[in-house]
Amino acid sequence: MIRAALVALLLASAPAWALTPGGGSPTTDCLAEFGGTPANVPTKNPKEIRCIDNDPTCDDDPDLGVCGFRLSVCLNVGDPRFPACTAADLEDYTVENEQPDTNPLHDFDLQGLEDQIAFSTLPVESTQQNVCSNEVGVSVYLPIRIRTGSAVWRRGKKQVRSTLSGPGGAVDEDRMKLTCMPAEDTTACDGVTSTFDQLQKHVFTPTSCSRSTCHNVRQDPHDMSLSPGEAYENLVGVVPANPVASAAGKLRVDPGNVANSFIVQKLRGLLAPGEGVRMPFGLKHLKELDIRVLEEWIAAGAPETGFVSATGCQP
Amino acid sequence: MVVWNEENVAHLLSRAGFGGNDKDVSKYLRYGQSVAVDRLVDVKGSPSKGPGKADFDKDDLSSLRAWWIKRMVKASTRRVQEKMCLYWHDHFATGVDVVKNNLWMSKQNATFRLYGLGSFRTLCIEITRDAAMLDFLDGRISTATKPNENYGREFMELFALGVSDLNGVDNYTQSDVEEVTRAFTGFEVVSDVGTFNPARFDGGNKTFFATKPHQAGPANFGVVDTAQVPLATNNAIDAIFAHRDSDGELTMPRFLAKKFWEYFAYPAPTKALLDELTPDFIAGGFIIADLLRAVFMHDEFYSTAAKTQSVKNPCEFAVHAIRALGASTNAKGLPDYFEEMGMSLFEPPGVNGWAQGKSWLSSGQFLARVEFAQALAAGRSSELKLTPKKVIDSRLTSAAAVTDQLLGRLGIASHVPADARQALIDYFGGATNFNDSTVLEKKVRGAIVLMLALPEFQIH
Amino acid sequence: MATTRREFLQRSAAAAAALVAPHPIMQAMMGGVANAMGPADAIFVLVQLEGGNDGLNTVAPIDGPQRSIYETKRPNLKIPAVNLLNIGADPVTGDDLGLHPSMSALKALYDLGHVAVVNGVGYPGQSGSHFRSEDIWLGGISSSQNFSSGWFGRYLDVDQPGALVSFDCDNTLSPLFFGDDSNVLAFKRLSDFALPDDPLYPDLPAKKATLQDAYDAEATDTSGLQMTVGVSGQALLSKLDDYQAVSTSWSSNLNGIAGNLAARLKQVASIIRHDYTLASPNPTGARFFHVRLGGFDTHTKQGALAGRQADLLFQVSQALSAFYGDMVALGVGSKVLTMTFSEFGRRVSENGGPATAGTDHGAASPLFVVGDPVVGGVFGRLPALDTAQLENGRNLQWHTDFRSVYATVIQRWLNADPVPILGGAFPMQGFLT
Repeated sequence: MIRAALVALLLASAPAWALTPGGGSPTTDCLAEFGGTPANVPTKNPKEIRCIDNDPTCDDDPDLGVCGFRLSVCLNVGDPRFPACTAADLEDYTVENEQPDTNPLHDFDLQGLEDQIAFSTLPVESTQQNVCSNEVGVSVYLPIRIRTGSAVWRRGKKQVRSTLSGPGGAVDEDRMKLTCMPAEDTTACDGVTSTFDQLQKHVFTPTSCSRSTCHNVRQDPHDMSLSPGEAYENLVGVVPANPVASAAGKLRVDPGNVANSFIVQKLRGLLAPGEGVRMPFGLKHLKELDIRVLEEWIAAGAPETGFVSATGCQP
Repeated sequence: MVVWNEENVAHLLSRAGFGGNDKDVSKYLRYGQSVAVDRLVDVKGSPSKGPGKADFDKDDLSSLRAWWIKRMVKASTRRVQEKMCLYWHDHFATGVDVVKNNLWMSKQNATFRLYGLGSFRTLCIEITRDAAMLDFLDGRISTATKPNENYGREFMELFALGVSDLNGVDNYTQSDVEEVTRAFTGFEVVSDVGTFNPARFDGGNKTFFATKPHQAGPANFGVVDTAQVPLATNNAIDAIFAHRDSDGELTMPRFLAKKFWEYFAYPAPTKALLDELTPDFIAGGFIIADLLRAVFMHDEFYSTAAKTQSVKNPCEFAVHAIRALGASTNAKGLPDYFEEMGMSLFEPPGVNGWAQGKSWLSSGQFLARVEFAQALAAGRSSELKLTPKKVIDSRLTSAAAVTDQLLGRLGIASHVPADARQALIDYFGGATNFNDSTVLEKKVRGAIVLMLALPEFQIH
Repeated sequence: MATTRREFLQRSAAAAAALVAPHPIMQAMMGGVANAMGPADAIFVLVQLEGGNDGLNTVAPIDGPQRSIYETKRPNLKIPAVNLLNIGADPVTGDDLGLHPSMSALKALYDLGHVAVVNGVGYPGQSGSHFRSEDIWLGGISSSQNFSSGWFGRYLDVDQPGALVSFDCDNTLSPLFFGDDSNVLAFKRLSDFALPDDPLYPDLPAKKATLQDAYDAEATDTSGLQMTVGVSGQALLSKLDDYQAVSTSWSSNLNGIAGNLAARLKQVASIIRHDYTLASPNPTGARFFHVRLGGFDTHTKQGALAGRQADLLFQVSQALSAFYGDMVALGVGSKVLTMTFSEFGRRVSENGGPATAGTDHGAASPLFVVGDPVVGGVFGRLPALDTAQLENGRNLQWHTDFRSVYATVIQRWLNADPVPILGGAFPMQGFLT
């Protein structure tokens, strides 16, 4: 907490060249510039923050497999790089690629960034220069590729596309790329304590099942949170909310009985009329090996602890 | 019989569509009343469907809105169709802010376009299994084991019967709501289509309107799903349509006739008037065009009351202005103006639809109309384009003549009081040369704003 | 044409009745409304916190059994007891409660007795949807009713039909004000309230003069709806002048406070200053205000002592306190009541780990009522936090129906009968007497 406050303080007086202008016309590019973790790629005129997982200079998140970037937005920056850019009255800020919160691709971090600027920082008048928002955390997860007997990280990316505008017609459109790279000598199996833990960390959490709106926010009529600590009790031995599936006697996860486990059918898209749509909804289908870990885990009785699948992480 | 004159034709075109220009008026004047009304209402349903993707993207929604507004601006022989689309959108009000799916809203809009003048029974069946409506009023989560009364209740209250009849007697009880709800169970949305699923349907017998003399049950009522196997021998919608009020008359035709009359003519019609509107509608098996024809053929529809007691909704106001002035638009910027005027299409404030009448003219929304009028009058781009030389006869040499011509185009010449007309004439500051570009650009465009802000153009 | 006008009026029975109803103060004297105490020109400011404010970190338990459950369920988001700003004991459980540490400005007002904290406000059948729950709060309806009009719109219909006494500080009118005969201005900035002009051929003075003459003619020479529109056109033009005379350049306490809420409350304060202090010959007449602040939907990275919610609560506290200070400085402290609300609170248990924790949509939450007329203190109760007593095992159970809060404001501040407006009787709360 103290660290975050310090960073914010430092930033308020940071020289303009530590900020990332984000692109656009030189007459408006100073209206909004990204602060927080400075962009470092390419060296000249950087537009991207590249961070190696768990590098303390850019990753604020203690967990492996995710980079916690910190972003702020500074407004009406007195930036010597843009002598033709003059401060303006500013009022609205939108993160264009945030997606509405019913979309499975909705990103709560980008929503947080937008809210922080739009509601807690704006409006700003042309007489106010170098106004910086507090920093907002934006997490970028490393995608995981499961292999037989192991799992490896791959590079994770996220983009921020934003528009700042003012009542007098001022507009500054900016882009920033956030790239998280796996640390050397780490694998996606580090810290995985069981096959179920692997499913939680590699499947439920990253496919945005629990990070996004799908199985997290209360969604009537069904209610199946897959968040850590809730997923197991919501899956194993639980009757599905879908009336067709429940009438057929299926369970979400039927320990020892893959064929009667509705979750597998939902993920593979083997659905009878009335059983709804393939999961994950609105996203890419899961990879074969991910589903195989799930099936092997179910076949082994769906235990909460212990390694029971030859696919993916091993003890 | 009414005198078939320009004023009455203009009134018909204003209510049955979104207003007409001189050419329209003279065309429908030539037809005579009966042919004119027939040509307007006898339109075969159109399958046209707008854009809209299966999510809630704002730009996508804006294109859908612009697409529809453009149709209203362009509609010619199909003007009643677009007007009825708007009417049914208000009648079966469904909000994209709840449904959060532009595709479903676009499909519902297409359903109104296709069935909006045909059989009311078909329209009700289609709406009952419409994806957007199934979501909006919880039909998709209403199952045999967990019935949800939202749709059943609103169907009777807002769509078909009303809480009470014209004598103030309740039309149904809570038990009727529960029974109707059971008959409406069984629907879900599969691949963006409302679909009947027998496993969700309550197949038990239901008793409708048991306290009424014309008791309709018990029977295994449901809703016939024309695309699939009939699920019950008795259609619940037919049972509701067979409901009779405390006068022993069919309730639905009177209810719908009242809604139509209030939308197209004036508030609070008498019972006797309503009963003059319904015979053809009943005899023909509830064909919507028959009811509409009865409204437009009725002498009372051309009364002063019918011409002065309703406030144009923002759609009617803006589209009428564009059409009457021969302006062109790509409609892209119009959804924003509509929102400021209080009418975000596909986003009515609630299941009741938009409040009609004077609430359209609350101060902020009235000023938004003036802002739209200014944007239209000053339109010099593809978003809105108005050419002053085409609006007036530039050979005219007096401000009075130009004022009268403009008021005439807007269809309000005979209603504007003399002192207001004089104020408009004075606005031209003695200009006599209407070929002069400053006069055209400044005063003619300026006068158009002022005329669109007159009370007479807000009402019809 | 006389018939026309009568029929028009009959369209809204409530509005028509109100036209002949006695003034509210008279009603009170006639016994129509018990205990009425608001001044005849009472000012009411409603502050909407959009997105669902996490009430449990706004007013948190400091000690007692609730505290340990709170710490268990919120390992990352809990506010340390030592940092909470103690506002005294919960009237039901007796355990101490504290405001979020970023709300020191509001706490100072609380200590002076000008803030009521109403805990555990909600309604049965919480939907968990932003939109639906906003409809319920703005409509003043039960969760089984569909929205058709706003609770404040219905108040205006009954008490101020057609009168231009309300200002919504936003570009589109909130459903809060929807009614049969409510007449409300909606502008984000006062400067937006102006007649438009053609940028290429400006001609505003002539246009305005012509409109004035035309509306005068319409108002006197016509009848029915034509006349009604003419009269409201006249009123609009005169209001335009009144609002344009409002100055926002003055030494408000809100100057220099960052964020949206302060900017909007500044406009409200400027209007009140214009009407009440400057003895302006052209008052706007606005007494009812609605302002919104978004950003409370903190599903992720909500923060505890610092972070997104702390920033928002800091803003709310600073802005409400500065606004109160303005009102006192302007000499209208006794006329102004400010109330906050949010469409729901958030879950008791946090989601996510140390770096990401946030909270999901919940149910009951506290609201604040601020002003000199307020009876300061803690009202309602902090709902029980143990799982067995939570709604669906996850959400705070409501104890005070939000309509009971509205009813108290309507009856004891706005001097009207809440029963027809809210469609039923709800018990009075003690924050007003």
